[in-house]
Amino acid sequence: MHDETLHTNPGLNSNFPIPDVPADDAWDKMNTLLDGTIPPTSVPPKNGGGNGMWWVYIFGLICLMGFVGWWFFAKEQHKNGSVAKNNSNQAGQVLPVNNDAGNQRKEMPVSGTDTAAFKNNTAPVTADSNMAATTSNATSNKYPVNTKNNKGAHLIEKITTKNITAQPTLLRAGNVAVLPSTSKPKVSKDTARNHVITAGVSHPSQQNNYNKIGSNRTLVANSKTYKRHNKTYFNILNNRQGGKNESSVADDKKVFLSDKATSVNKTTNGKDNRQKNATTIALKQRRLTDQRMASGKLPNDKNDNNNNSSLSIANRIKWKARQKIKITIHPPLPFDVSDSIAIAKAGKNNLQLTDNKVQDVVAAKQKNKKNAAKSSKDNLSKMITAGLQWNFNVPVNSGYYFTGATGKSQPWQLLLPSLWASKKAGIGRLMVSFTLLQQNLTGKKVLSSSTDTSYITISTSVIKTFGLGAGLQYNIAITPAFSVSAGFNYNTQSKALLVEDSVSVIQSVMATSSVNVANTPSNGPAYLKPSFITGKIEFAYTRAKFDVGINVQKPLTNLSSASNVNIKPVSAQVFFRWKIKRG
Amino acid sequence: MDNPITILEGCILYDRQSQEKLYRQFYPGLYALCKKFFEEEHDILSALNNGMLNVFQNIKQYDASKGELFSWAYSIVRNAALTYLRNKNNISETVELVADIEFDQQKSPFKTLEWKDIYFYLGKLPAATRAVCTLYYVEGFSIKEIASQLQLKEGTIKWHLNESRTRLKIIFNQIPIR
Repeated sequence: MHDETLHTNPGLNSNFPIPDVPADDAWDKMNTLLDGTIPPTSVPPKNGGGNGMWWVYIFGLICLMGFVGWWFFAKEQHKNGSVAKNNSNQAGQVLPVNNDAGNQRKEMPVSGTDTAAFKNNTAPVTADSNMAATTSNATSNKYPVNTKNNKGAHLIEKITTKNITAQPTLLRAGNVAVLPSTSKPKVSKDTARNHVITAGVSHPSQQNNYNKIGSNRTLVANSKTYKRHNKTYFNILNNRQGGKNESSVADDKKVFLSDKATSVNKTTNGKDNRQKNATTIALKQRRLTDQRMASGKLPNDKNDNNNNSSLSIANRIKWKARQKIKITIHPPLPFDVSDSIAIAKAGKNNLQLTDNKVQDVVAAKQKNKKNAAKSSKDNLSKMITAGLQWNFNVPVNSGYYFTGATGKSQPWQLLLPSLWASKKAGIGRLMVSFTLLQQNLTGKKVLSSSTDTSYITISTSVIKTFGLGAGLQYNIAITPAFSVSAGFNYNTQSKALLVEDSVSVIQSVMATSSVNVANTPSNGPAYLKPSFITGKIEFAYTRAKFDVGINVQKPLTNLSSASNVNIKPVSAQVFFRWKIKRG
Repeated sequence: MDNPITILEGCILYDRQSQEKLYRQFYPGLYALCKKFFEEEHDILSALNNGMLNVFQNIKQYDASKGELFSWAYSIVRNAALTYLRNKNNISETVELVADIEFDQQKSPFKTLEWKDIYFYLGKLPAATRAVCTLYYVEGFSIKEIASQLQLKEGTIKWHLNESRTRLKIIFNQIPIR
């Protein structure tokens, strides 16, 4: 039985007549028809299938490579930093002589015996903060001499020899290493501006014997001070060659071993300026000193076990000769080393700085800090590479390639400008980019479709979306000319190019088709999300200041706000990158 | 019987087994529909399969809130049948356009007939007249809707309807209802 309303509400369970053609035969024909138009597929997993998995693998691989490289780089940095830290804090360990930015650091072993003797005998010269703590009887008024970490201030303590008696000279420098006498004093060869200061013995009359030759100066200050005059002498030897310095030290030893209380001051010419020192140490003070020395058990001293009090002056001098200090001071110096000598002259008993000098030093220190901060900013600026980039969208899947945001043809929008900056990070470069006008070609994707009572199906499709874009990616150079990158982009969708098609269901023909531009705040929420994230892979060829390459982006999030409409089109862009500022 | 929702989800994913289940489930009703327009089995199956092909290709656009899936498929298959008929017989050239024809709206002659009788009498009509008669009397479309679907003028539709009534009267007199 027929029903006049059958066309509007046909019942599936109506009493239809049995078909003349069996369903099997009909399905065979239908199956053949389907094979020619819709290839049979197995049911894919709901998470999107395996077609998009290669993106995940490639992203993961490149990101993993980047992180591993970064990790190694950070580990190396941390390792170097730890060594430097340990060196500066532990006596008897490896101490850095030259603290010049890690790579130029020189390390010098200090034997534990020397360190113990150094501590027990209240070594006259300390260069380490821990060691300085052992010489608590030395009042420490610190004055900056050099900049810290080659730029900051080295500190020379005001020495109060009254409390030190036999060890009146205390040189304390936070970043200065101690060179024991058993080690050969070395003169830094890596820079012609290094200064070696060694505590030594000199007569006041020889204080002017140091010579400036170029900027390579060696200050030898053998910590030999005689209580008699309660003076501290510095013998500054100008020594451009390390060998000469060694010879002078050897000569010093010979003189010391001669069991004469003499001070020797040698110049680089090897000319002996031996002068008999009329110094005589009071017996009580000598015994006190000998006792201290005996407790330190001087190496190779055969007499210390027999009679501590019978230590000869020669042995004492010999021991003290080992307490040479090598101090490396890096330029720029706030004031010339000669100022130290002048100060030493003026202060006879003490190393004292005048008020003017203090002000000068403080000003110099502040200036150095400013220079250091400015230099840090300059270095950061030098590390950053930045420039402009133009992107050409590749018409992968769009029939409205030239249609712009206004709905009209706008070819200029194919040149999408963007700003970018990169900084070296690990084995590659970390790059950020900002696109002023991001154009996302989606292909013609149906957002919604509905059929009205007149059997006209109205479908709304999205062709393009427009907005801003920001990206973060990691570049790795596989060859000097080619590089590969991976990263993420965050794109907004402030506008969308929509196509509205009206199709007559009955006639299966398109009635109307119109292109509209919709602002997503008003029309978008029903169709499009305000933003989405894409994964990006990029290949680039570098030549001089320009890069050219192609990037492929795959949305990781859905462009559509409807859960049942999945819009994740793959897009590609050819880009041209100009390095305006090179780091 | 399988869950219709499961079948629908399978069809959306182009799963062939789900498509077969849906086809077999809808086949009797859709075959009966196409038989109203065509006499030959080949034409019936061609129109039916063309319609079902459109169903499978556009099943993502189906909106469950607007009706049953069968109703949606029924409409698509009917449109496919009309398209097939139009392409095959070229209706617009065979009919005489009469704009001011008077059409006496009477009760459907098929109101009380069985399916086999309906098919029998429809088989006695020319193809274009059969299609118009089917749409008007059996499917219940208005003249305006038929004109829109077949892309014909309303006068032409009325002429076909008058023609069908004239012919059917003769047939009813010659061959009484069985």
